Formats: sequence, structure tokens, C-alpha cells
Amino acid sequence: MLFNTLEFGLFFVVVFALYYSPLLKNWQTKFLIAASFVFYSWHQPQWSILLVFSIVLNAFVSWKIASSADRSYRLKWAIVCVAINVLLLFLFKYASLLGFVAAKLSHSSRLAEIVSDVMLPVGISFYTFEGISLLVDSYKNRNREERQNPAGFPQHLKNTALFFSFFPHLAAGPIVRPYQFFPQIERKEFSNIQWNFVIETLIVGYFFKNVVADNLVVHTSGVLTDCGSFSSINDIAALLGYSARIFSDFAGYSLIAIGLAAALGYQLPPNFNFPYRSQSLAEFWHRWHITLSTWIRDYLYIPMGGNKKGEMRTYLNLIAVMFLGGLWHGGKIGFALWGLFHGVLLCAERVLKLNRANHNVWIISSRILCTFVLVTIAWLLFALPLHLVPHYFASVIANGKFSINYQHVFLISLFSAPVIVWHLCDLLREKQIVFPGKVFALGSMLFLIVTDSGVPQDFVYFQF
Amino acid sequence: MRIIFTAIALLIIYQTAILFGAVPFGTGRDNVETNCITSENWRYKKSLPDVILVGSSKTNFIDYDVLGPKFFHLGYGGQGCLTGLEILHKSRHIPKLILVEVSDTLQWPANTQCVNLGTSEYAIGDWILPMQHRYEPCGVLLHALCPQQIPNDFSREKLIAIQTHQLSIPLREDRRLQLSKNIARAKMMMNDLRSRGATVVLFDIPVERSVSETQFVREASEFVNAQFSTADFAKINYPSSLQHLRTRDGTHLLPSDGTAFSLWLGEALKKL
Repeated sequence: MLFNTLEFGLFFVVVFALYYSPLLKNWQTKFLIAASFVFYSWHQPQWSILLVFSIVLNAFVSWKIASSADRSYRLKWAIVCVAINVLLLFLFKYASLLGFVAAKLSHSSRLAEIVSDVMLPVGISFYTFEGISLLVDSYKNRNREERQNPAGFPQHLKNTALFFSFFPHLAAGPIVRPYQFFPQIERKEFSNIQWNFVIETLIVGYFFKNVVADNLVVHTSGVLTDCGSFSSINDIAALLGYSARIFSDFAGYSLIAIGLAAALGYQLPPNFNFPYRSQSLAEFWHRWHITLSTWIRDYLYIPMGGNKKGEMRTYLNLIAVMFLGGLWHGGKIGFALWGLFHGVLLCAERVLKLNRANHNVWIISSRILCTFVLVTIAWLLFALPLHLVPHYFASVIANGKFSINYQHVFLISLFSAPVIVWHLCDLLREKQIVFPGKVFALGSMLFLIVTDSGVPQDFVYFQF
Repeated sequence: MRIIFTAIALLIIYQTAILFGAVPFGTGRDNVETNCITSENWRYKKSLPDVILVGSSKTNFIDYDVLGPKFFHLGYGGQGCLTGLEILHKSRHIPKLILVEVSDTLQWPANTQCVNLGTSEYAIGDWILPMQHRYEPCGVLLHALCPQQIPNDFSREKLIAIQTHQLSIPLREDRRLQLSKNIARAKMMMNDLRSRGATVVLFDIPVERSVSETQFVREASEFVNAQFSTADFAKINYPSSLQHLRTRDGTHLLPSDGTAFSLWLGEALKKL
């Protein structure tokens, strides 16, 4: 079920009404789990089994780990279960890649067909990472309150089930940590809802998704895949628009998830912090898909030694981590190259010491511009199949004489403008200038959601 | 609450502006929107036209100023005449003369969204005018600030070459089957329209010569023409002098050539 559909709207209204009704006052958690499974099973009921398996396995093992004082016993359980999680993710995520390789080796096209038909269960990348963090945190004693839980394993199982399946973040994050979520599981009161926060977050989220991202789809992906038929300016505009689109799609989704969770009394961590005003790629990764980058930092980069084992090792770790981060998006060579591209540039930044603070406005502006351009060029590997990337650059060079389609440029500018304004608002906030007409701006966004939404599209990150 | 009131106030102001005619119709910002606007134009037309042209996006590039106000068109981008025929088939009132474009574009089935938008009993845009596609603020802005331009010669040549290359393929069996199915449906609807008193005449609009000579267009056109016998359906064929009209991209006529075609079409219809 997609957040931007009428069926979800009806689903949420019913869930919300029942959730806060006196009838279900003592059953809120169980009801939310049931509702989440309905949400998850709507289009892919078969994968609920996998979700149940993941919940039971991780709840059982994390409970075992947390209940034992024997360090080697805890470690053994943690390693085995993390390996199972990774294996499951690997099997589903890279089935098509594995099938492709196996078919090449065995010269069997039927094998490739069978394996490529394996659908990716929605949300597996997200709940698997949450499962791993539950296990590791249990091993490291980060979930003390769970360990001391007097209600025992059934309560832990229930909490874990909600932690995994909570529908606002189930399909595409934000990736939540157990220590952030478990303490929040308690009875919620209607009177405690932060209505201003909920309404503002939902309006901005739906505006970014329905008005900005959905309207940019045709003018970005459509043009990029057919770049040979457009002028250089249009091709460049399409790529810039794609940058705005991928931000508004995912940031919009995250804001909707945060807003829906807040309506149900839960606080989800922010996922985006105005990433396109970053002055370096290192800063970009502190601002883009924050919950994934902090997860990778805590569960991959730091255990690998982080930056504590010398310069060379730091560079290697950075490249390896970004490579794996790229592969997390799927079994395509383009994603791996995208990760490598970022990894290498992060190393270059460290070598050239470009991370250091500077107060010159021109230097800051040029750094922001350079970072944005590099990030945008890298999005090509997301936007296009790998074999079309050289074709894109060839079209940009060769199509200079093409007539510019000004309507296309106008639409890209019009729908990308909110992304620029959104980032400028943060600059204003930083300079402690109160954004004038906030209510009018939000009212206008709501007006545009009603009148100017694009054709509803899947969320980009659902495929990951 | 102030946010919601602001949004409602904006909706009321915009609705009032539309009612007073202060908001012009917008341009579709993409194919889907343009097609929706075409259906809405039919749904909200003030009076029944005398003649209607039903077809693909080729129909949209004819000069309607030359043809006059009694002409209306249901031309759908990326679709053939089936969408327009379905709309007329489901409409209570139909024009006296219906011109149906029969060409390789018959391979595309009718689009349900466009048909519903043109014919359903109720639509939210009937009451809340800002929710009509043609009044979408960005489409109105696009129409006001950025009119559609004509590609230069370099672009035209390239686009025609791309299209010629893409259509240099044989007509596959599955496409042939789809064409047969669509033609049967089109014939059924045309017969129904005739039984309701309308005159149905077939026509086609020329495309770029190199495109019309591609294997796909040639085979598809031959197949389609063979299915519509002249004994059953009247057809007006454009003369050989109009066979070499110029297009923007291989398929859609340039304004001057659209005018030339319209002049001929107007004359041909007078002879009917």
C-alpha cells in the first residue's frame, strides 16, 4: 500500500480512529501490529511469512543474547543470527545478479529467467538492518530495559514485532534503532498528539512527493532515457531535475512516515537535513539518508576500524563502506559504481583537506555548488542503466545544435524551485531569520496538493 | 487549522477567478495531462460541435482556426482513435459528422482514465473547478509564460532520423493480433454511432515520407486499410500533393503544413 493512494488514506483513517478508541485502549500495540501486517500484505501477502520469520528469529535470539551473561555464548548467537539476516537479504536482493552470473557461467537463459522472477520483498533492506541493530545492540547491552523487562519473552516478542512492522517506517525507513523505538512502546493518548507537527510534516511530505517528485518524473526519467532526442540544455536540465526529484521523493516519503508515526504517538528520527547545502561530500552524508549513513557508520565503518587505524586504512574503510552502501541499493553494477564514486571522492576530500571550515561566502558557495554537481552527476548511475550513461554524456556533447525545449526547462525549474526554497529556508533559520508567512506557505502547499499533484508514482526507495 | 483555512480560502479565490473567466485553460505539462484536458474539453463543451475528429496526437496538429468553430477534436497522444470512439460511444449526444483517423495508431487500445474523464456521470471537477486538469495552476502558468515552440531544422532531421530508425522493424504477430482486436472494436463502435444517426468517415493524416516508408508503418497501414473496405466505410484519402508535408518530428505536422492539410480537409468535407 502506498502512502500517496486513496486506499491508504482510508486505511489510515480507520486505523487512527480505532487506535485511539476506548475499545482498544489496552490493545493498542497488538492492534498496531495487526494493522501493519494488513498494510504490508496488501500487495505482497506472501512476503508476510518472511517478515514473521524475521521478527521471531530476531526477537528470540536478541532475547537469548540479552538474558545471558556468558560473553562467548552471546557472541555465538549474535554472529549466527546476523549471518542469517545478511544471507536472507543477500538472497533476495541479489537474486537477479546471481541469476545473471549463474546463467552466464552455465549458458542457461532459463535459469536467469527463473531467478530474475524472484520479487524483492518490500522493506527487506530496512527491516533486516533493524534486525541486525537489535542483535548487535543486545550483544552490546544497549537494550537494557528489554533485558530487565519483567513481562518476559512474550512482551519482548510483541515489542520486536511492532519495532519491525510499524507501518509508517516498514517499507522504506527511516531505519530506526531499538534504543530509539522500544522505550516509546506504551499506551498513547489522543490528547498528546502534537497536531501542529503532524499537519506540517504531512503537508510538506505530501507536497514534496505528490507535487514536486511526481511532476518531475516525466521530465527527468523520461528525458534521460531518451536523451538522444533532446538538446544538451534539456539533458542537463533533466539531470538537475532528477536530483531535485530523488530528494523530494525520498525526503517527502520520510516526512510522511514521520508525520504518520507522530499521529500514532511515535517519534521517528529525521532522515534528511537539507543535504543540498552541504559543503563537502562528507557533510552530504551527514545530511542525506541520515538513518542509513549512521547505521553504516555504527555497524560497519567503526567496527572496521573507522579512522583510528591510520590514513591508508581509513581510505580503504571509506571506499569499502561506500561500496557496500551502494550495493545495499540493489544488485546492479551501477549502484556499486555509485558507491565507489562517493568512496573515492570522500578519500580525495580527506587527502586535500577540503572538509575544513571556511567563512568566505564565495568559497562556501562554490563548495556547495561543487558538492551538488558531483552528487548530481553520481545520480546518473541511479537514473539510467549503466550502458546508457556514456550515451548521456555523448548526447550532452553532441546535441548542442538541437532546439531547446523551453517548456521542459520551465517545468523543471518550476517543480525544482520548492527544493531550492526549502534549502534556503534552512539558511534563513540558521541566521535566525524567522521565515515570513509560514502559515500561508503551508496553506499554499496544501492547495497545490489538491490542485496540482502529478500522476501518482511508486516511491523511488521502495525498490531498494 | 489556520493552514487548512488558508488552503480553503485559496481554493475559493481560484474557483471564483475561474467562474469569472479570469483563468485561461492551461496546457498539459505532459502527455497524460494533455490527454486528460482533451477529455475535459469534451465533457465541459458549451455546445455540441457539428464535426468531430477522432484520432491520435496527429489530429492535434491540424489548424482548427482554418476549419472553424464547428469542428472539435478528440486527439490523444500515444493513443489511437479508440479512446475518442469509446467516449463518443458512451456519450448521450453525438455530432452529425465523425471523422475517424485510421492508421497504424490503431494498435493502441483505449485509455480508461481518459474515457472515464470524458464520460463518467460525476467528476469532482464538476463542482471544484480548480480540480479540473485544465485549470491546474502549473499548466495555466505554462500556457501563459511558455508557449510551445517549433523545433529547428537540425532537431527535426535528428528526430525524424530517430523515429525512422525505431520504426524500421517488422509488424510482429502479437501487434497484428492487437490491431485485429482493436479494429473489430472500432468497427463495432462506428456502426453503433451510425445507427444513432451520425455519419462516420475515415481519414488519415500524412506523416513524414521517410517515416511512412518504414517497414512497420507500411505493414501496419496496409493491414489496417485492408480491414476497412470502402463498401462498408466512406473514406477520404488525401491527394498525392499532400503526401510530402513536413512534420516537427516525423509524425506531427508543422503549423504551415497543418494549415495546408486543414484547407484541403475543409474542401474535401464540403464535397461529402
